[in-house]
This record gives sequence, C-alpha cells and structure tokens, in this order.
Amino acid sequence: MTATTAPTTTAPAPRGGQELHTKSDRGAKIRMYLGLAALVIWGLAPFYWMIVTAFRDVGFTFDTTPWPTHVTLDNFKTAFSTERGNHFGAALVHSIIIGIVTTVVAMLVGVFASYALARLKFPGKYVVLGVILGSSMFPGVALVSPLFQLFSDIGWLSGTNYQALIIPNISFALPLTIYTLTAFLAEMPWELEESARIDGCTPGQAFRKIMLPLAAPGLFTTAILAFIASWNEYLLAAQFSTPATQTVTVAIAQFTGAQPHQEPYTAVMAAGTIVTVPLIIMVLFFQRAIVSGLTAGGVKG
Amino acid sequence: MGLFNPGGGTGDARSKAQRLEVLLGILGVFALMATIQTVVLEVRGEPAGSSAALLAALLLALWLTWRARRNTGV
Repeated sequence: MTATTAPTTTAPAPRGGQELHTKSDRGAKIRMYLGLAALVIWGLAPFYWMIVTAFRDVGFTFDTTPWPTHVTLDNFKTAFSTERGNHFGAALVHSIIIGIVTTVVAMLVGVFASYALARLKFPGKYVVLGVILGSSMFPGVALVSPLFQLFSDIGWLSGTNYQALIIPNISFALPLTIYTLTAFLAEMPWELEESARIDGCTPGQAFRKIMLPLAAPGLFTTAILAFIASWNEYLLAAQFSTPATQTVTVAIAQFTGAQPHQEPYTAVMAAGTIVTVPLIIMVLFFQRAIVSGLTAGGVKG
Repeated sequence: MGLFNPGGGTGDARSKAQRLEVLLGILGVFALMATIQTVVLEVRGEPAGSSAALLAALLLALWLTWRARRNTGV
C-alpha cells in the first residue's frame, strides 16, 4: 500500500517544483532581456538620434519626433559641400592615412615589444612595464604646449606634414597595443614555439610562422583598437593639423552654417554618421576575431 | 594576477619585488619628466620652486621604492 501510495503522493511535488523552477527561469530570462534591452537602448540611443537627425530636413532640426520625419539626403550633400569652406571629404582621406600609418607603426613596434615582455626573461622587465604604464598615464593635454612649440620650431605645422599628427598618435596607441598584445601573447602555449624550434625553426621563423598566425585574433583586435583611438583623436589634431592634414574630428568641429553663428546640426549629424560607418563595417567584418581576441587571457588574467 | 600585477594576492617575495619594479618604472617616468621640466625652468631663469619640490617628492618616493625592492632579497 505504501509502495503504491508513495509515488502518488510524491509525484505531484516534483511537477509543482518543476513548474516553479520553470516560472523562476522565465522570470530570470525576462529580467535578463529587459536588462539587455535597457543597455542596448542606453548605448544606441545617441547613435539612433544622430542618424534620425542626419536624415531630417534642416528646417525641422529641433523636431523631437522620435522616428524619421521630413527625410532628406541634403544634409549629406551639405557635409561634403565645400561652398562654406568645409573640407569633410578631404578630412576623411587624411584621417584614413593617419589612422592606417599609426596602426601599422604601433603594431610593428608593439608586437615585438610585447613578445619580448611576454616571453623573455631579462632584468628590469617589470621596470619596462612600469615605464609603459607610466607613459600611458601621462595626460595628453600636458603635451600639447611643448609639442606645439617643438613642431612649430621644426616647421611641421604647415603644409602636408602628417608626421605632426602621426608621431604623437603613435605614442598614445603604442602602450595600448603593448598591453593588449602582451596579455594575449603571455597566454599562448610555450610548447608550440618549442616544437617549432625542435623541428628546426630559428627563433625568428618560430615567431613568424607559428606564433604570429596563432596570435591573429589578438593582432586584429589590437589593430582595430589602435585605429579607433587614432580615428577618434581630437585634442592633438585640433592643435597640430593644417588645412592640408585636417582630420574628420576637427573638420566636423569647424563646420560652418549658412549664416554666421548658426550651428549646422543636421550636417554635423550626417558627417557623424559617415564617420561612424567605417568603424561599424570594420568591427562587423572582424567581429569573430575581435571577440576571441578580447576574451583571450580573460580566464587566467 | 597577470603580467601587469605579477603574483597579485600571493604575497611571496618575488611577486612583491616584481610589483615594486612596476612601481619603480611608473615613478621613474614621472621623475624624468619632472627633472626635464625643472632643468628647463632653471636654465631659462624662470621660477622653478614648485617643480623642484615635485621632483624632490618623486625622487624620495623612487628611493623608498628602490629600498623596499632591495629589501625583498630577490
């Protein structure tokens, strides 16, 4: 009797528990998605508003309708127009040149420096790490005046002297590349390199043929972070750029309206949209590499 | 833990020495900058009192860190 009643009395309990469990699971899921939605809205709202305003007719700039109204492409035409002394198109080219050169040089130097810091044992290694950390802590604004003086003395603040923007940018991008790559390379297994050496590779070949291809996600992530840092840089560019080397951040800040003291918000938003697009394309294109690069080393730290 | 915080939380002498070396590097950068600034101000004949005081404080911190590093015995 007990054998037959036991299952009947105990059977509903797990079902009820399961229901409770499922309910609490559903509640947790709902809370999680609500939280995610809040985060996405918080993060994307400014971009959404930028895009909505970029496509809105200039006469309705301050219209607060939350969806696109009075849609026009005129703002993009205005952003690229040179009639009012804006040179946004040229600035885009300048920014791309400066960003690419900064990224390439920072990566070339950074990959060797970080490999040495991650792999080699030498006296004063941690002092070098401290120096790199210390130099990245130095406030950029403190460098503007002395660099301005120096560059003006050596004639870099006229004509097409891209180096006046590239060299300071490298000094900011380099610590970033070294941190990211050092953390990434330190987590890579030593055995791969040792196996390559046993198979007859020189240290250089082991690095080039084994370690670098394996470090590709980390390299992509670092390169993109360095490019974004250079692409978004404003402080130094505002001081050291000439009309021939003006970057997009400076060009947008100097947009002029149809009348004096009129801020051309819609054109600024259109330019902002154009500036953001290459970054979004690049991040989407390398998304898989970026995620694996950023999470690498995250467990052992 | 990690390369930038060697042996964090483990408390052994080698980790402590490595952390002090990182601190030496950071203080070294700022001490170098303060030295350059003080020398430039002195050479130009401009007031350099605050710069010199900052340099003295940084050098003191550098010396204390160096002494602590040496006392780890690693």
